Amino acid sequence: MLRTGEPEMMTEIPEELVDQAARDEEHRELLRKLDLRSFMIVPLVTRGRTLGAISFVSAESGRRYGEADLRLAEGLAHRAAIAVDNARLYEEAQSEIAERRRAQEELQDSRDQLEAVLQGVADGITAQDSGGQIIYANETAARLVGFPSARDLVEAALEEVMARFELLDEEGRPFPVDSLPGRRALAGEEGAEEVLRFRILTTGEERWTIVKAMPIFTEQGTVRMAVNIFRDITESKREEESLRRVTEAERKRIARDLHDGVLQDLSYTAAAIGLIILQADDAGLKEQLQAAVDAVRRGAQGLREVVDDLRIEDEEGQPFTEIVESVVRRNRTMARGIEISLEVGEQVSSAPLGETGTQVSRIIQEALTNARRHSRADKVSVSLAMDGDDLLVEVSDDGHGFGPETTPGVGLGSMRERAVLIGAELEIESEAERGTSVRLRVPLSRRALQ
Amino acid sequence: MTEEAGTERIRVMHVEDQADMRDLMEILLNSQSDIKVVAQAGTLVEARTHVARSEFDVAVLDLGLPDGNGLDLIDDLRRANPDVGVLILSANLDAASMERAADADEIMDKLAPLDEVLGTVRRLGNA
Repeated sequence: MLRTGEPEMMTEIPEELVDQAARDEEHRELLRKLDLRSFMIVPLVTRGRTLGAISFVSAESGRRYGEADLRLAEGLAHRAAIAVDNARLYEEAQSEIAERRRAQEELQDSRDQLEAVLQGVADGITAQDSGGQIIYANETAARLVGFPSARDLVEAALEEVMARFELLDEEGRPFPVDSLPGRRALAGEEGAEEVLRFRILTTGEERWTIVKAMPIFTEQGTVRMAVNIFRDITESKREEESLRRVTEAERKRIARDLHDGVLQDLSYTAAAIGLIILQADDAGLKEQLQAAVDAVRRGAQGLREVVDDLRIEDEEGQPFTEIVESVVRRNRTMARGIEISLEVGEQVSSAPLGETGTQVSRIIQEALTNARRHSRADKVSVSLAMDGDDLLVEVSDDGHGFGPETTPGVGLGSMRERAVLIGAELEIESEAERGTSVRLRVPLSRRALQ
Repeated sequence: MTEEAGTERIRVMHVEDQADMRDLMEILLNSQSDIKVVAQAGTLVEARTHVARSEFDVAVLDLGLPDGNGLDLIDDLRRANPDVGVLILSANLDAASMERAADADEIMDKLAPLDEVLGTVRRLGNA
């Protein structure tokens, strides 16, 4: 019956059936005493499944079941089945709820653990949604950008966050917001990294950080969010800074000692030998002394270059165009017979260019020295212009030039070295009787400088 | 050489803090028949007293002096004698000094050959 799911009824139970159902004599005696008369069995069916069955048996009452009893029994079984089924569904629902709660607790636990890990790391970590809004930050990140807590940072509007600090690059120049690693990661760039300085406007405090950002993609390949990692390198930068100051003071001292001591002595020595030459009559002796004077002069020249190089750093914070103007003025003073013009293109920024500015001004100086000493020029023109992100420098003279057969001036090698140092292209064009042009193309974009 | 009647020697003031160099220049300049060192100074203060008391045609100035820069003398010199020739003679000309030295008549390297120095003194003195 359980298999078929159909009800069964036996109005009169034959005695033989009772006998057959008995397992042994004792059992049969028991069954006979029960005096079983009539029998029904109805299945408990719900949603097409048989859950069990209810058996009805009449005994000493002598009642015999009929069709009406069977229908009543079936109705009863149907309700019972629903009740049983509901009870089971309820139980399943309860255990599912319990399971979900457990899963949620586990998730919360692992979130708490992750949070504890993220809060514990020394690096600042933020996550931005595709619109740039900060959706997660740890405490370190908040501190780095001048917020009292991570919650304040996450709850602040993006504009408010950006208004808290001034963004500078390593050299202290303004850093364009669009080049932030986070912005670039949101645009799909992987591995974006920058060294940045955050100057917190309220306190004036400056912090140096290495910022790395990586995009997190959706399954469709669009950027879902960007994760930023900020490593605070302020302490090591400050140490670097103080080391730099110590080194600079040391360089200045060495430069001063060489200049005031050794260079003065060499000048005196050259002059003293020069005086003996003037007074001597012996041609052979004069010749020997002249060789000595020449050697002393070469030594003094070499020493001057060293002193100049030691003093280079003094210039690095000066506006670039001012350095060039001062180089040109200086050369006008030294070369009175030569007209030196300076033309500065409108696009050329006067902002300090750091070492690049110094090296460029040295190259200009060397080109002018060559023009003055070797070209016999009447006019020299210096021009600065911009071509995109590149600074173009040209120093041209109308002198006699040096053809391929002439040995180039001493400054050429050093100009090349300086150009290499700042990643610039140097081109020297010189033709006999047509003058000399020194052209320099210096990449100034931030990327190119790295 | 003897001084010829009627020709006046070029009078020079030499300002230089290095005593050796001062002596050497004195020997050099005085050995010329047409040049005479009339004043020498090792400091700015000393030089200013000479400017006030003596007359000379050419001032040969070093830049780095213990109490200041030789360039600071130029204005005083010109006030005392607008025709005075000013020659800067320096071992190393840094950027700032070079620019200010524009007020001088000539700038020379201490390493320059002595006959060039003499030539320049003559040119300024006879101008």
